[in-house]
Amino acid sequence: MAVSLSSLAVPGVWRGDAWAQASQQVLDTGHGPLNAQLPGGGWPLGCMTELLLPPHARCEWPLLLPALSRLCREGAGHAVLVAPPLEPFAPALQAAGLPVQWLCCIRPPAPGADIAAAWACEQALRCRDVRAVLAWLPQLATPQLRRLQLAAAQHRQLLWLLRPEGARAQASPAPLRLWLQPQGGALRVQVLKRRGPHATQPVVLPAQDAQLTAMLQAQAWRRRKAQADAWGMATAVPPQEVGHAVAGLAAALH
Amino acid sequence: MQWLAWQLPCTEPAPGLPAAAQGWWALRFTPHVALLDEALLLEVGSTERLWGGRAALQALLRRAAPDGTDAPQDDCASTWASGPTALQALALLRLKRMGCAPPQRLPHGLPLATLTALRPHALALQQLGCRSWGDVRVLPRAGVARRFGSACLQALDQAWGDAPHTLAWITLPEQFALELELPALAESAPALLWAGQRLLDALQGWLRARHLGVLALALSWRHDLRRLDGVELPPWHSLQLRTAEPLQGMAHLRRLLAERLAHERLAAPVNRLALRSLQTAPLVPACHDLLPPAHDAAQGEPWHQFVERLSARLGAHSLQVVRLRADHRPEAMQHWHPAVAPPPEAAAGLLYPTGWPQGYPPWLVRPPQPLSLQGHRPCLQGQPLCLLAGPQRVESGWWDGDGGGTGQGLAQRDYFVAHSVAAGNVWVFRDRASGAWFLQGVYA
Repeated sequence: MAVSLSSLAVPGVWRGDAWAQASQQVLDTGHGPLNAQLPGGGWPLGCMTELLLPPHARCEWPLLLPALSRLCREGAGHAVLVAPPLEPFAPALQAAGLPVQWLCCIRPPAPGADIAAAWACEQALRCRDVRAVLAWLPQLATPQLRRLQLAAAQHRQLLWLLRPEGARAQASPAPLRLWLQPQGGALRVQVLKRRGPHATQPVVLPAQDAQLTAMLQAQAWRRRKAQADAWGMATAVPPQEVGHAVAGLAAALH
Repeated sequence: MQWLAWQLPCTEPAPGLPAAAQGWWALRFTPHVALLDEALLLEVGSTERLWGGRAALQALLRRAAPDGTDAPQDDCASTWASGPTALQALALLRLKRMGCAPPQRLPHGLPLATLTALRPHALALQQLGCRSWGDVRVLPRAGVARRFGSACLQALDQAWGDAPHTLAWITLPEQFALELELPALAESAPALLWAGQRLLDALQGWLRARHLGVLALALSWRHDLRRLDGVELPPWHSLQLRTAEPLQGMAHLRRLLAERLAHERLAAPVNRLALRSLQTAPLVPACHDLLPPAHDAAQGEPWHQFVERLSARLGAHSLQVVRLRADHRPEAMQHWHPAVAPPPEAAAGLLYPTGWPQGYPPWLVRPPQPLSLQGHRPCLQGQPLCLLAGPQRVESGWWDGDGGGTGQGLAQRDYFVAHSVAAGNVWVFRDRASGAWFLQGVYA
């Protein structure tokens, strides 16, 4: 057998040291440092991606919005949210570039909501006009997780599953698992599992959009300046002012 | 002229169904379809060119025929026979069903029992030495007419094609409305599904022959009891199914019906079932591409079927789509509507023609959550909040009246971006009328 391994090109099979150029369908995450950590350089299509969050942390949107917005805009398909913990605020998502007319929210009625949500999630993966599914399913047994992974793989769909961080010690059929930790104004993303070598260093991404950061900086600077003026001291250079909903709503009205 | 005879799957039609309903499916291929004895007769000579020749049409018919029989698939060929006249086709079909080979000379060699008109006289004719149609045909006509009646002679003439054969052609009703007597009392709603399936099959035949798709239909059932536990029962109860796109395939309707029936509770045992089409629309046939479909062509059900099916199981308000509204109160900026019947896109660009302003939180708390106070500082989960930015003043909604404290009505608020160690950045407001603090949004 004189076939060199490098000449073998089988879809979905790659050498372990070339995991970053893995030949699989991916979607650009919109975050450069995160792309570098994911096999193929983006969110994998046809694959369940598990995002593990601390309780009461709602930091999924900054991570997912860039990819989701582009997917819905270009693919002209629906994004399905299954059992979101709070009500998504559509004006904010629209401002971030997500066409909200493509958004569909599924909230199963209370008795048996978990089972119904998992079922709805699987059905959404089977629908050909759905581009991405985001599911908040904290209580889900492994057989159901496996079903979801199989459905995503069979229909080449994007599925993000958001679960509490307590589940990171449990085994999971998801080929990609990320652990998100908000830290001040930043979001630490630790890759727990991927089709590649073990990731040692977490990726640090901005946890809020640039406009909000700029506005908070401007406000903090104004406060410092007022204090300094009161003390009669020289002040630093002001940061660049940015128009903002909270600061500049009156301007937008005209 | 070319005739096909098809053995009906069951000679006794279901009680309540018109006998003609068994032949509706064939009207798609030829307008001349008639029922004769135990078979369905189709005149295909006039239309076979439209379907690409005789062999192609026969293959199509074989595929389209409802397989109500429990016969195995390889038995399919024995339910079809063809001949130059209707009676010959029927006779050949009967021969095939008896397991005999067709005779050398057609139609002279056909046995007596294969012609309905000769059956009562088969014994007498056999004693005369007649074995086949040809033997009877060569007998003197006057004598045969006197002894066996002129009906025999006429049937023979029709079988040879010498006399015109008038059949009662099957025609389609203008409206689809069928009633079915259930073979046994149905105690639970899912038990209706089996009988409903037969009605749906009949509906599919009707739709195909008329080139229509169904948009809405009503399934009704009749209660067997007039009153139960002293409570008067309505004689009929009905259920409506609607779909967004005209449909001819019954798979989606069957699933919708199953979901809806699973939620129904029958008030009393049911003995009759009726199906009526409420709204139909001309069906635009699917346009096939010249090129073969791409390898990764999208498979799966379309969006409207997905929405209808999930809404039928989970309830219409479980699937929602959002529409934006020009308003300054955050709770009035978006409205969620059932995804089954979404309202048209509103002109949300009125307020912000250049796009929505940045800086709103991606999560909304509805209704706003009241915050406790420590001194003058609002607290979330027992921890004081640190106000980072604001205030932004909103004073709007006077046109909605007082609202009775439901959040609607005049809102006089100052909005702040606040920070808490436990919950991160949040969006809070102070109600200027009451001085109370509320949590309305959550940032990352």
